[in-house]
Amino acid sequence: MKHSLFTLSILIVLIYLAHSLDNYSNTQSVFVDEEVIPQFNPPPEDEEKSGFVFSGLETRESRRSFYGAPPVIPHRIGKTDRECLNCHTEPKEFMGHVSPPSPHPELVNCTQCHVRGNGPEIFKKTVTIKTNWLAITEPKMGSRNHPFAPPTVPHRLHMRDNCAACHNQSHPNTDIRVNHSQRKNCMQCHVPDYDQSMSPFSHEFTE
Amino acid sequence: MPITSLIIGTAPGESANVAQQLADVPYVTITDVKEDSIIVITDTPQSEDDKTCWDAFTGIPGVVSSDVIYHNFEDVEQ
Amino acid sequence: MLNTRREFLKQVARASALAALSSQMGLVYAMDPPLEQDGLSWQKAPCRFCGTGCGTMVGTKNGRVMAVQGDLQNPVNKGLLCAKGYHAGAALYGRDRLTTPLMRKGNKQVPISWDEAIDAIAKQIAKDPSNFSIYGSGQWTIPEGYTAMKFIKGGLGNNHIDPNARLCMASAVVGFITTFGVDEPSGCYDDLDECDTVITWGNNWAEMHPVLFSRVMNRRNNGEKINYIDLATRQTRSTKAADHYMEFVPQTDLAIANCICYQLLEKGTYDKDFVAKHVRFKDNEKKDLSIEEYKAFLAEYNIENTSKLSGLSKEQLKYLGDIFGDKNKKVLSLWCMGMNQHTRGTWINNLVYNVHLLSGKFGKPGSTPFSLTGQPSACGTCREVGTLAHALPGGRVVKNAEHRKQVEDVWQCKPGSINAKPGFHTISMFEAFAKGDLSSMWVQVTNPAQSIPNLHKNLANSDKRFLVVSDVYPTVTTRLANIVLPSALWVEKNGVVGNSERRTQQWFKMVDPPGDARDDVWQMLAVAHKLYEMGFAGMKNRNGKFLFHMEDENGKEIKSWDWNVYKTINTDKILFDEYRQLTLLKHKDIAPYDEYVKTRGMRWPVTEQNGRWVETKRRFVANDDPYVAEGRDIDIYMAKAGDKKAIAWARPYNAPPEVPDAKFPFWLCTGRVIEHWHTGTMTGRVKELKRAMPHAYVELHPEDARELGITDGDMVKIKSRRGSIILPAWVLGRGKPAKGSVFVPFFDETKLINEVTLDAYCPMSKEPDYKKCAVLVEKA
Repeated sequence: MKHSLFTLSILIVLIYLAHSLDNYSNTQSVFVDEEVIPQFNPPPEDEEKSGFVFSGLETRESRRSFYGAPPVIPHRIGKTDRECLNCHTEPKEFMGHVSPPSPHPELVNCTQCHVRGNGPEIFKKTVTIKTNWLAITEPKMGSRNHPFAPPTVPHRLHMRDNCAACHNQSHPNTDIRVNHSQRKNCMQCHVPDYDQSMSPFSHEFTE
Repeated sequence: MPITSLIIGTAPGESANVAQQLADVPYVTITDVKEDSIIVITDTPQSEDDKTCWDAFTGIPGVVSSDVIYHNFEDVEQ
Repeated sequence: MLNTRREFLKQVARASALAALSSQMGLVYAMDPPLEQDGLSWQKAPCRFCGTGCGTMVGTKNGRVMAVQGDLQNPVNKGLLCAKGYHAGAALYGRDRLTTPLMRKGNKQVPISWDEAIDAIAKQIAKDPSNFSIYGSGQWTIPEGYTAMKFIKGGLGNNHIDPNARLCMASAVVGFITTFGVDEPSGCYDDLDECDTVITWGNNWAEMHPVLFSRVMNRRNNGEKINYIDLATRQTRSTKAADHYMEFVPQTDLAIANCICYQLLEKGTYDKDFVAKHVRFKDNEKKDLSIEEYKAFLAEYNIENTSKLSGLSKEQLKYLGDIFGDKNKKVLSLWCMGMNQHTRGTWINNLVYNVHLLSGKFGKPGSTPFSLTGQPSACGTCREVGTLAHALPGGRVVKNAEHRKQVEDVWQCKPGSINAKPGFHTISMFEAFAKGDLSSMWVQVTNPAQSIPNLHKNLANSDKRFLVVSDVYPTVTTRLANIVLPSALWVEKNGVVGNSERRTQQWFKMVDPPGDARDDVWQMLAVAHKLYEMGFAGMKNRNGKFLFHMEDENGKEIKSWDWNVYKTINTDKILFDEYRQLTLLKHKDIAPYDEYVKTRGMRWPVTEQNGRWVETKRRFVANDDPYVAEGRDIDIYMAKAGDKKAIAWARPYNAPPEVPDAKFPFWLCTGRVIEHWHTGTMTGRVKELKRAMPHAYVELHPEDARELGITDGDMVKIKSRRGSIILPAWVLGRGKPAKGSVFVPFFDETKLINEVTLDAYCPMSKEPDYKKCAVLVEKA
């Protein structure tokens, strides 16, 4: 009896969690500004009807204190960090959600940087606070020289150099999907779009 | 005259067999045969032929995957 | 032509495919990743939080911090941070930042001007200068601690200055001094990269020094076999990565360490050569012992007895003995509060050194004992500048006349200014404040009304005394204060700090503090100058000038006490370069300030060799430490007896003063969680961290919980002889205490667990034991 009540309460919590992940939508791609650019990003029709939870850049942003911060974990977690990679090495489906692969699975101490979005369940309510923190915004698509040119990489590559982890066809964030991820040599076409002179890691600081 | 390189993933131990059969596909040149993959260059008359050429790969038993790596698609007439 | 070009294209095609096969993504970036497009200005700064001392890059725009990233060029963390580090920038922007000085008038704290505040403080000090005290912090920058020292010891001839590092590292300090003659570790973080065995002695480094933890654990990705032994009193996140978890009865770490030494001698697996050359033995009364006498002392710590006492199995104890007895193993011991916050903290530090000295696992890459420091500058400021009641900068003590003279000469204060009598250490300082023996206290960069043990007793009557608190947010301490001074936080001011591995790191001010908040250094200079204007003798140096007299390149005096002038100069450079002179006595040499600007920090002793400033990776080790004498491989050059040997002390097991009994049957242990720093005043104002861990809780063993009828989320009462508190239970949570013990984190200002804790302290270090007292636990 206790066992099934326990299972039931877990299910209820998980379902509640699924619904409480607001701020997502099956949005159209934000990058459509010219008709000639092919739309890579919206999920295909059958996926839209599948009942899976997809998200966009807005959700991505809401999980990060600022652009470049480690995202908070929007779900309950187990006891060991080794469990994280059971799902977060490939897009895996679970209860209507899809796990985004980690772009840095070689870093094994996940909870060193990633904290829960909502605290331990023993606290019945979510505690949230208002602060005066202003964050820099997420980069959108990189610039393109002409309509068919490969867009530049608008974000830093530190801990994000495994392009396929995020830019694949099954990623839950439909805004960052790419339909030619079978090509492995991304940097062949997509160059970084940085202002080199403002480098925070410039060589004057070398030891 | 598109030039393309692809990596053909092969099932364990099947590399050599697959390579033999790949060699029979038109427009294909094999450059490297490794334990679990084969590097292939295709040089087709026009882009439309790429599809037929590459579809043939998946029909070969022992082929696990096929990935386009480099693709130069200018149709140069000379 | 065409064929050549087509052939070329085919070559390129093939090369790309080969590259894709050989590496993960076929991409390698040779240069450091530069900046985003949004034009942030990035500068380096060591992290505001723990004693790891990670390097961060802080991105600012329009006078605000907007992002923090790991500094790829910093060898400590190589671009990685932890949850607190990433959100260190956000910690500056809580809604209730203190922005104006406040004074208690009646029941309220009302805003006043800085002039009024400085005036009031100076007048209070002048009224009763010998009963004034400063309670400082391991989060003080080096210039801040140095200014405080010169102010109170030089200016007031008063030694009542002690830091919160007394509660954190004092046992480690006295452990170092009694064993090696001088403070701070021989080893460095490079040892994390070389060891094959790690033992943590009561330390949850996965949450407390996360970047060091992952520095070792990520080595396992390369196929390296790291044997991690978690010797602890409760299971934590660290345990999850351990190969062996060994749970011991609280305080029996003393016996376990002795048992390992017993085995090394009994089996003859100790390093005979090393011991003969570098170790001498003394008993608890400081009498010299021969190795046979030491062996006789250890006889009662055989495996049988120690197993009964500690709860470790005989196999586990033998395993530990064998690990240390194995010449080929490179063993790194790590510890922090579990050993330091201990009523025999000094002894247990000595005993772990004994284990490493006997086994010869000292001073070798990856094989050494390494004392981890908790706070970002407990080393750099409190220990090196000596901001303790008995100490002076550079490892000196007030009792020593020669030391006093050396410091007076650098400070240029009148001869005889420094008082020879040590002042109150932290617990006695608060006891004196409660009793009225001290009439005034200035608290800076710390929150004692939440962090001092046995709060009801030690913080009694603090609202009746004259209390000045410099802080950045309202805290439980500021609420008791007569005067609250709003202070600059982290990158709102220049700073220099020193981490666990002796690495001194510098940063420049990047943004302005909010409202009228001002630097702690300026606050002290302003009060000092006010006293000087009032004619207070101590604030005039031997040349008739202001004690903190500073000159520009033209010899003109800098009015550093004037905020508008202060803002335009770098007092850090002036103070640091003055302090430098005092670091040479015990070979704690630091380089000039400008060198630290150029680097990601340097580990002292830093010496000039062939025109370059060269740091020291491993102290006391030949070819690393320039002070090692010719012909020696290891040189304990600060050994008190002058024989260049470390001392192995015969320290016995001693039971803690309060153990569980019929009335209070549980052990209470307190500590931290990764999300929050100490009393949570900064991290508690970061949305992501607050949400992730909003409140304190009590961890219980599942069987205990079942017996008490408690499940997750139930309210539980924890009561000791000193106080009680009600908290929600977390039974299947992050940690699992031993049966018969509970754990409570202390970050929550609405749940002051220190009302329950005991303030018994190590008699040698004066550091209290936050890890052990007796409580009763029941459903509330």
